[in-house]
Amino acid sequence: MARKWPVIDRIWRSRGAVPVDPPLPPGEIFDRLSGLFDQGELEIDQANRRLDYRKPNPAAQDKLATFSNGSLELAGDNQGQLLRYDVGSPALLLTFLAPLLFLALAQGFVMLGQWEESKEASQAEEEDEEDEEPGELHWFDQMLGAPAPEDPGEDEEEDEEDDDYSPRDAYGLAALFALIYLVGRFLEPYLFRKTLRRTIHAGSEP
Amino acid sequence: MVLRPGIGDSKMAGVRVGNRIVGADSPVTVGWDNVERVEGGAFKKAFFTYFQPVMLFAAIAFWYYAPNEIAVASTGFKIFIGFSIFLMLLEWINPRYGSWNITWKEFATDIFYLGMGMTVVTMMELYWGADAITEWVQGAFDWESFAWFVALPLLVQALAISLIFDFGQYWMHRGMHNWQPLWIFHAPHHYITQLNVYKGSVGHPIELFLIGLGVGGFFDFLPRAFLIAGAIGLMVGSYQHINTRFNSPRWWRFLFNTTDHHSVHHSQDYEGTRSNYGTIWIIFDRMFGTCVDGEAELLGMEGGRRMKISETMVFPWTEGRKAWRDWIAQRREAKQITGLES
Repeated sequence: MARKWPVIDRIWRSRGAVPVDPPLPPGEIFDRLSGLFDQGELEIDQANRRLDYRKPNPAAQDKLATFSNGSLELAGDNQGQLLRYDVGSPALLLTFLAPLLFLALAQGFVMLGQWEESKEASQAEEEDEEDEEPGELHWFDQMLGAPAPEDPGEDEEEDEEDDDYSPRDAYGLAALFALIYLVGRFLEPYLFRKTLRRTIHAGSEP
Repeated sequence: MVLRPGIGDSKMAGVRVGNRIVGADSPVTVGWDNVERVEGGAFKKAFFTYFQPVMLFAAIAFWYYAPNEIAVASTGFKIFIGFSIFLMLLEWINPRYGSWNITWKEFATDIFYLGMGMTVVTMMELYWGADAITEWVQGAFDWESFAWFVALPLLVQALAISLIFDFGQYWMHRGMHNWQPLWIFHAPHHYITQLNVYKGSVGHPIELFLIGLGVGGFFDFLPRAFLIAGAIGLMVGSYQHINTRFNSPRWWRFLFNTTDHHSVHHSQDYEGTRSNYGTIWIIFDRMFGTCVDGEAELLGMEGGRRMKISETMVFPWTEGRKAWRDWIAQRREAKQITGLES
């Protein structure tokens, strides 16, 4: 199986082998696997005991939704068979790249914040806004013990977290996508192998 | 009367609701008596019956009594994150349908859209959204005469914010289903094929921006009243898109939009999609004759085709161009016919 992007394609590709035990005729194995490829394009080369597939837009619950293209090849003989796979995942690649998008958006927030700050500084010199009086609580709320509203002037220093132009959320999302990628990189190949193993052995189990 | 016709029938009998036939294109269960209930032990049944109201009243009490330094928007955000994670746990414990189970890819996709909402849509809202519109409206009119709103009890103010905001959303949402220029932005959201905690964020960023436009902010309310209204929104609206089955109490189902209602809205049935437009409250649908009490499992458009992110982002422009060309062609055709006749 030729590799277009050696080394870095490990980001979005998974390779490995699943033992076929007890051994089965190649036709039988491909028949059992064909259920996984109801959607999309499928090419079976019986002579070379190879199967290529591509699912341009798999359904949400498709077992191969993450690894939506690749090939499976049967190796060995009746003494010991292996189903080798080399599969790719555009979803894994995009998830790997997603943190870059959110880091760029974080920079966008920083720039907007700086621009707004400089705009506000020049406006503040021109006009000095009066603080509004805080509204009073209704007697019913006072009776029930709800805290009275604060003077708006008091909380000027508070809560930089609430800044509209804070890049915090975008940084958080970048980190979250890095975590989602790592989970997917290990979980999805495991689930793919499990799906292959179950499908091949579906008819063999007593 | 056929309530759940077999999947695969090209045209089904459907069920008459008012003057409409619901479920003629795709299976929709109509009527509370036909909706499935939570199965299991007494504790499980009690938990999934009382969880929603208990959480709603607890959230209202929290925001009502929280000290001023805690009653801030950032606390609300932290509660949103924690509550969402807990809801995901409930999806795992008591899923409504196995065919809606969350997968790694679906989760990654949902979080991408949520991220777009928290970044790109937030940026849009800062300059053109509800805040900017509110500032403009408040500057253009004398709203002093509405100052008495602030003197009302907090819960009344919170209820008013929630109802006014949802009333605006009801008509915006209904408009999206009835006017092509709005529909092309909303349509990608209807390509979701299952409901999960973050599916409310799935859609074109401009659609999320439009649906977020509210009229509640035109009036002055106490900040705490806004936070209580936000808590009502979180503790009721979160269940719109979720794969968990609840035995919601009768009064809850009468007042609020539930997963059941919203699954009908997302069904593959055309008439089903033209119902249950509310976000938090279902009472506006009841008032204006668009409510269908029921549920559906098969969701989406074009027989359940999943829309990719890349297609979602360009869909309004490609569909808009197509619609524009069709309109021009129709006009030309009409002119030719008129020319021939005269």
